Amino acid sequence: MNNVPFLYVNLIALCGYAIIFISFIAARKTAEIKAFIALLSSFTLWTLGSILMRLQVYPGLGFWYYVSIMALFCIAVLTYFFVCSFTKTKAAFTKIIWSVGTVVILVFTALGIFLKPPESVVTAAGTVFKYNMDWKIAIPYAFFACIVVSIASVIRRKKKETGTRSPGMTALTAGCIIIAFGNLLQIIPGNIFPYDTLSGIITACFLVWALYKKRMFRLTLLVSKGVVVCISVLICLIVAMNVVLPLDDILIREAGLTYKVATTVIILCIVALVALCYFFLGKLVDALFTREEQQNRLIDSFSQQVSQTLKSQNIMTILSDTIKQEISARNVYICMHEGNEYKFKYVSSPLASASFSLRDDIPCVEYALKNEICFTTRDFESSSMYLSMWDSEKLLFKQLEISCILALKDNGSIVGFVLLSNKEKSSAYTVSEMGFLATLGSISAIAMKNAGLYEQVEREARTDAMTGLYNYRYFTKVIEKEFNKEGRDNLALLFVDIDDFKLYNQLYGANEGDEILKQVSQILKQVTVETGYAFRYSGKVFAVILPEHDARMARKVAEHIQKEIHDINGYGLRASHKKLTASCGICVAPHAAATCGELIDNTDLAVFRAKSDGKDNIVVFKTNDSMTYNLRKKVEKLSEIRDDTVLGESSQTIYALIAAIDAKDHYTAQHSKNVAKYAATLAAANGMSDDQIRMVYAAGLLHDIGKISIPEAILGKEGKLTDEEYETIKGHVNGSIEMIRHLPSMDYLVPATISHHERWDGGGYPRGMAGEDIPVSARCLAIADSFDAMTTDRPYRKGLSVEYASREIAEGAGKQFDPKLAKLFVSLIDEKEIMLQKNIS
Amino acid sequence: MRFQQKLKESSSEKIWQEYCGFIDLDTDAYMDIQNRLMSEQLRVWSESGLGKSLLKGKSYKTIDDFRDNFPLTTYDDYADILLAKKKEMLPGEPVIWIQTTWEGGIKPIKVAPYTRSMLDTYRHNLSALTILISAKQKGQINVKKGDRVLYGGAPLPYMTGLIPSLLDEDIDFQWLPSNDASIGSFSKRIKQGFKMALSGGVDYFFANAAVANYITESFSAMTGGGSAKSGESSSSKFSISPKIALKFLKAKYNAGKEGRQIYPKDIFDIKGFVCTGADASHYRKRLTEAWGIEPIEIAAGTEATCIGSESLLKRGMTLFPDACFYEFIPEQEYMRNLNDPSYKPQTVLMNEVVEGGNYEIVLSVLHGGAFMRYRIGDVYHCVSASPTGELPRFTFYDRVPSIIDIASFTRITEAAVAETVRLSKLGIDDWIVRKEFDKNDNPYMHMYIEISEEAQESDVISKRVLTDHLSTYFKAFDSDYDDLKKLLNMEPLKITVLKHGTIKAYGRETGRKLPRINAGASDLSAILRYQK
Repeated sequence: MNNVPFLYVNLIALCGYAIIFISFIAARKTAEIKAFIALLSSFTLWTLGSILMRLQVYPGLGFWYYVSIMALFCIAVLTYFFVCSFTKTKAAFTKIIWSVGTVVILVFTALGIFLKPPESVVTAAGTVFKYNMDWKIAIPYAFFACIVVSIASVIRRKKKETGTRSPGMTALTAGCIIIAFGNLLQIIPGNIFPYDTLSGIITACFLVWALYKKRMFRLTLLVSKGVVVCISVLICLIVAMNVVLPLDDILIREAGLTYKVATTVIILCIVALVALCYFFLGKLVDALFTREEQQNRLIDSFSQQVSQTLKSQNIMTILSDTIKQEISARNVYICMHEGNEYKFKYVSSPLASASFSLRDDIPCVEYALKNEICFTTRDFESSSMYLSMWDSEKLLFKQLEISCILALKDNGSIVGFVLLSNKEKSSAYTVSEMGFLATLGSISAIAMKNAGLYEQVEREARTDAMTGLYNYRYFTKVIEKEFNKEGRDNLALLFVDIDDFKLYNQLYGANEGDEILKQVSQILKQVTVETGYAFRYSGKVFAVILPEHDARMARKVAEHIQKEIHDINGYGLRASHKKLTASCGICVAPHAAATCGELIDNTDLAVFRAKSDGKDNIVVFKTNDSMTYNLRKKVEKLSEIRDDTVLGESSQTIYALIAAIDAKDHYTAQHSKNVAKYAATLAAANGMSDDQIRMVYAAGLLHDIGKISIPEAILGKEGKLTDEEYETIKGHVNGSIEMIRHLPSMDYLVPATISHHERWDGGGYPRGMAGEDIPVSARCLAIADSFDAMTTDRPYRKGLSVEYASREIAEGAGKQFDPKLAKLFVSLIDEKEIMLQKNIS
Repeated sequence: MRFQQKLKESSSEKIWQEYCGFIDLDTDAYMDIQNRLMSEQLRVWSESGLGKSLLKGKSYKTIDDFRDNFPLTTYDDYADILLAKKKEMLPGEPVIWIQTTWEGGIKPIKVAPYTRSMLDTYRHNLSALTILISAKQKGQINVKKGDRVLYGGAPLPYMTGLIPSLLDEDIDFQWLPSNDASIGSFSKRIKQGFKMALSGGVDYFFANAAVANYITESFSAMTGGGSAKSGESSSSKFSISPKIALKFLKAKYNAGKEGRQIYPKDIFDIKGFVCTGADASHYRKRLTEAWGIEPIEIAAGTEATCIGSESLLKRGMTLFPDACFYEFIPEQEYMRNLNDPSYKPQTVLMNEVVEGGNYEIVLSVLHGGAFMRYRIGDVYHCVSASPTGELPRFTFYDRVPSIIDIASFTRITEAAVAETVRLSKLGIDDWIVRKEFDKNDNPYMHMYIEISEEAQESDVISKRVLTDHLSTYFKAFDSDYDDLKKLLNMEPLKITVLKHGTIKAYGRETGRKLPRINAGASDLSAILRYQK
């Protein structure tokens, strides 16, 4: 027989064994790995012996023949040991039988009883080895056949127990069949190809694959770049040995190249071949063996990304993307625990419509707690816990084609589930993928928990506790953000102010009031769910930010809200309650506001006007209304006497004094209120500060308080006053001062009150002051006092017309009144900013 | 994935766990499954038209609330909707309607709707059954694709007819006879099945106990080894496989040597043997002797699907946790209810039953079933209820005392007997009927009658005439009763004539009104003594 193919195949096999052997030295030595190394050693010795025998290396053919054949005869029993180890089969008795039998066979082999070393015969075709076989060789082969049957029996039994899908069983079976088949082919008469050696290396590869499938080692530990280089060099070496000389011949003889050129071409070809081999083998190894590395890279990247965000939505997106990079799941669904449910939160495909929730007593929870956090639905179905799955849950899983479930477990509880649908080619989820998912799940659970806590704190910080709406603080952030958003077209701001809410509280109690606020909040939530944001702006005022809404659209929203609010008290127990209404103000940027602050102010003005104009209104702010709104609103706001915030601690005292004067002289009480209003309006129009306006208003209320001390006969006299009576009347100024002076914290009203009868030209009383020496507050009061005196009905005459009074004031400018203030007052009358207050009834 | 594919690809441990894992559950885990499934069923059923009509405007949010307040039901409560097959009123879309007789000839058939989910559960539990009946040790899976099943169940639309169809969805068994309705009558099917069994062997035998007994007793005749009970065909009509023929020869030799007839066990080596029916326990011993394997008892019903199975490993049936929600009426409670129909009996749950107790079972069919708190009329005996939490096991005890069940073919009530007596015009003044067993443990209906004084004078009233006459009317009135004779060659009626006035006089003497159906054995003995 020609030994050339034997030599080449054996050399390749030997190199292969060597690479596997070296690689496995680094692997963790489990029983399976040890059994495999023993088997591999046997393969190696068999092949090495065969090569050295054919090369007739020292100490000679006979020695290497025995090394080779004895190693070959060990293969059967070592394969049995490996299979038992791999399948966790004890079979102690059988092991002893086969071991003892093998030892006996080896002894007889060593004695040359079964087969003697071959004879080396040199022929024209090369060296040929001739074996002299007789019937005795059948003895060891019969024995090995028994071992093969025994191996088949172990594999069959194990397959029955564990099923065909048990990891590595198919590869193990294939390996065993190949080695048996290769050795059978070898005995075909006339065969010149070393099928047994070839089957040996193929079997070794299958067994490596079986071990890998059973996760006995990590391939990345075995298959490194160095191994790729070795294999590349080996391949090129074999090619070079066979190709260099023929190629050299062709290039020199056929192509007519010179020796130097031919050598260069050959070298270049070999270099190119090495490079190509390295490149493609590298790719192949990457594709086949470095999946773990890729998974590790993905896990590292995932860890980094999730550590940089505290938003659960982002984490879910990153998780899903990472899974999709490694596993071809059609869809990834994520549900998180909320209340007593796992609510659907995320799906990888934007086209997949999903809206579901799973009860938190779904048996997957218990399964995940008692088993692995990542499991296939098939595994889950195999458990008795699956029996308690609801039909609706089974149907949902079926519809979503869920085939793998990853539980996000944190601190002994399942915080969420990642549901993975079938893979693109409907292949099963592998152990490697499940391990990858479990790692991602562990990282995600912690990240999701942290994100959840952060979001909860954030949510609480921006939410109004009672209504559940966003609070004022968050409103300021959102309005700023929305206002400055690039590319935004319109931004509408809507204020909803519940009318007469204070009265409602008084009528039905604060609890009922709170209930109403909650219901209004619910309405706003529903209305804005897709269109904007709703906030509790202040006590009974709600704000709605409506991006990309113009005034017409915002009005429609407001109308809808109003209708819903009307309906709150329309039914049930509240049917007998006061009808609930709300005033709405709208302002739209950029048309009616240039800044964010202006947008808020103008909306405020619009809602104010809606209330002023009879409540239950919707008012859209217009730019030219600004001044009017401001003024009226300011005065209205600052002159609310019952409001402690306006007049501070003095309010109660002022109210008591007004009540006192009202009891004595009703005209004076009403007059004081009118003067206070007119004067405050004038002060506001004059650009005075809020404090000044407040002071003017308070002074207006008290400017005639001194009249308490004037006899009613004089106060109510219908005819002309005598000089004495006039002097008595004039004394009310000092009377007022005396009273105010003794009131706590109200001495700041004295300058205005004492000077309200002074004249611009200095002809007034009590001190005859003139021009700007008279406090501006007093100058305001003087004009207001005169206007009201003229326009109010008196017992002795009807009230004069506004036009007349206006003319009188205009004429008194620079004489009796401050000319600038007088002119301003007249303009306010013309603009209807100052209108007659209610007269004495 | 089909059961067959799982057998190939999954480990035995995994398959056992999936299908038979429930038998190792503790009562807490079992009740968790029951409660969870029942909560879904209660919700779905309450929302259905059927539920609303029975709830009469009430709603029950919890199972305890439902059990405390919703009364137990019988088929009468559902008849209007189910007999009219009003699909739209049901909690789930019915895929098939299964039929059975109601009360002999008094009332027509009963029908029960099966949803897809019920069928899936039924199929899963049948697969579990095939494992349990053939496993000689825990975790052992002896089921194989192509196993041959000698099937003695009634065809569709009866519940047993579903079994081959459902198992065909999961595994390729060979049914003997094939699951083909065109074969003809039940009797023909049995013969055809047996013929096929002889030609290729049998792995499983599934039959009503009375039918199994009939086949067993006719075995020698059917194989040509003895005289047939009712002129059965000889073996010449059957083609026997060489393997069976060899076994037959060996069996004949052994039987001749031992001086006995050939038993099925001499020919067949079956893996599993399932016996259904009310009298299965009475046939158990002789069937075991004849077939060489103990028949396994299963619990099943038209309204309930298959609800429980025994195994070769442990005596007594374990009830499947996912088929129905089970409640049990203790014996004293159902007896009290029998005497006073206005009394509402209390029920206990699986974790409350006591070893040795007899319980009437009450079912709520899960997975969109129609029946809730439904009394199917079966009484079970609890053979094991461990305080350590092991699941209770049961054996079928009897039908409720108000029904006489003969071989599970017919169910005779007081109304049915009264109607037969009326139609017969035999001048029977008073009567009592009781189910009894003869010396060979065969069930029969023992009727104790009193002939009116006028009839005594004018009519022929020999016991033979009375028996023949009443049998004829029972057969005419109740086709199932007729089948007992036709199919199984059973004559289940025995007459004892009492002295006229004995029953009433005994009642006056004892101050108790005796039940006409299934009066106690002591009462009967006392009556017989009393008349003397």
